[in-house]
Amino acid sequence: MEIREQAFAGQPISVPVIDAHTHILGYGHLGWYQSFTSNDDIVAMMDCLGIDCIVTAPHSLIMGDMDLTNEESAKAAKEFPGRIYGYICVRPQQGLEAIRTTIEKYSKNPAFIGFKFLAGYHGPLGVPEYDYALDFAAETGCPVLSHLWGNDPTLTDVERAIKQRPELKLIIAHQGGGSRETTDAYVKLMKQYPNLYMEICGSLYNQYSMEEIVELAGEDRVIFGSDQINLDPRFDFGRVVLSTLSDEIKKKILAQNFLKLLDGSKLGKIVLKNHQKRN
Amino acid sequence: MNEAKVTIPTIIDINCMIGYWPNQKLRFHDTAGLLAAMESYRISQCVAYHSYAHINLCQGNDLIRQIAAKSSEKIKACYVLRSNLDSAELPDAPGLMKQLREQKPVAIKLFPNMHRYLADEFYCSELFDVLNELKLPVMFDCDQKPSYDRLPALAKNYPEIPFILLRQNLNESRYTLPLLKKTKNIFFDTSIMIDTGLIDEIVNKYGSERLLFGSAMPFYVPSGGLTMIFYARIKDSDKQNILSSNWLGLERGIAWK
Repeated sequence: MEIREQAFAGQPISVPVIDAHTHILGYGHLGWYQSFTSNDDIVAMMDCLGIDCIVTAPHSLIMGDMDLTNEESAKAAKEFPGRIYGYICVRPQQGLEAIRTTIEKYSKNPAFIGFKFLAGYHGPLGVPEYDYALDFAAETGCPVLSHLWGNDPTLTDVERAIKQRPELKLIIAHQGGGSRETTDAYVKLMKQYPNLYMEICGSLYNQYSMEEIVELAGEDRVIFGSDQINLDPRFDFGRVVLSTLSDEIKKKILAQNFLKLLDGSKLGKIVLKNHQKRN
Repeated sequence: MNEAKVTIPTIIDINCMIGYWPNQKLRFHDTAGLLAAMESYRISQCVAYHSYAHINLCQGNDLIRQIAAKSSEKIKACYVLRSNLDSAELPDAPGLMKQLREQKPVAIKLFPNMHRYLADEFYCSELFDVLNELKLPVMFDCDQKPSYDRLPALAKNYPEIPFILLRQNLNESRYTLPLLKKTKNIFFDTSIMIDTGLIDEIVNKYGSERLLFGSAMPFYVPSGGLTMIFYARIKDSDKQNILSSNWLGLERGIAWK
């Protein structure tokens, strides 16, 4: 059955799916709300959709606790091996020394496969603390996923990060900022720098369809993420699986493009155990 | 993977538009484009208004009426109205009642913020009295709805009007849940109600009867909103309610006689 038919039927998708943008733990600040927050419930939802694994940066990072955040990821990955992976999370305000220690510790844990920055929430991307983590990521060949909503952090900062590090694999979240206009601006930058990638979650206000986003950014550089459980994963998942894109392109977006970013990385790797089991 | 034939629920999209939009190149602007998009997403029927109604109520509403009449029931007409009855743009209350009864639009869309009025009892009593008598569904886009402190009184004062909040937004559950609990005639389009698990929670606690599906085509595409329902962990009958039955119930409830 084609992926689109599985989606119309509400069946778990039968091809590998990696959710590259997630946040475990609850978050109720401002208007945010989740009707479930446990990792058991998250994995149950993954099973419902056919998501093999998620890569997570727990919600605790927003309020700034880098240590608790990485520890929660490590615990979740241990509890659900092969289903939950972690991003090493850093918050510049905790200082360079703390960031060095954090990276030293978690880069040795094979459940951590890259970095997640909440630049914007935590100020600009162009600061020495993020530079240190970016340099580390470039040297070790692991990907970095950075938040970007609106123009925060700025594309100027994104360009600075990527221009200085041609080896860096930098994924910008939220289709480059959440709207058609910000996607257009980010795509211009993507055309200049082949090692920039676009993750798609939070697209509820973006008038571009997934077909249009792929046309703009390229089928090899679009990466699936849902922002669960900050957002319900069924929305952005649906934007991919129910689109009229070919199954070959959907497979790239859902897992293959992200897996390619892990090629050559000295950090942890994703093993799609669950997918093998399902098939 | 189970290859057995699956039944796709009937889908009615309550939030579509035909026509141009000033600052945008839309993915479609005409009947053919809307019908093609509906077919692609297996939407069997839609409720649509014509964007020209923003410029001229009479002409815009007449355009959608004609389109609907030629659509073999695939497109149902939604009229745009405003607050000032008995004016150059709208007939008086008896005249409007007569016109609506003759032309039978299935919904009314109001744009109080865009058209510069307040959708409350003071400014809109004549209009709401007509719509209340007809039990005509009234829709508000998410940036056009009355403020949350005015909505409860509006729903109470006009209990026969089903008020539909389109694209009920993310991060508004602290308004949505009390409105569901404490009012009887406010309905919600689920398309971007994407607080994690909120739709499932609403259905399990309060029932599915006040949820509806709208796509906001041609500005947006239906895919994400549809999978929110296809993959909801609720009974198939609740999915069917949201995707079409609830709307059909509202349409049947219109008091044309």
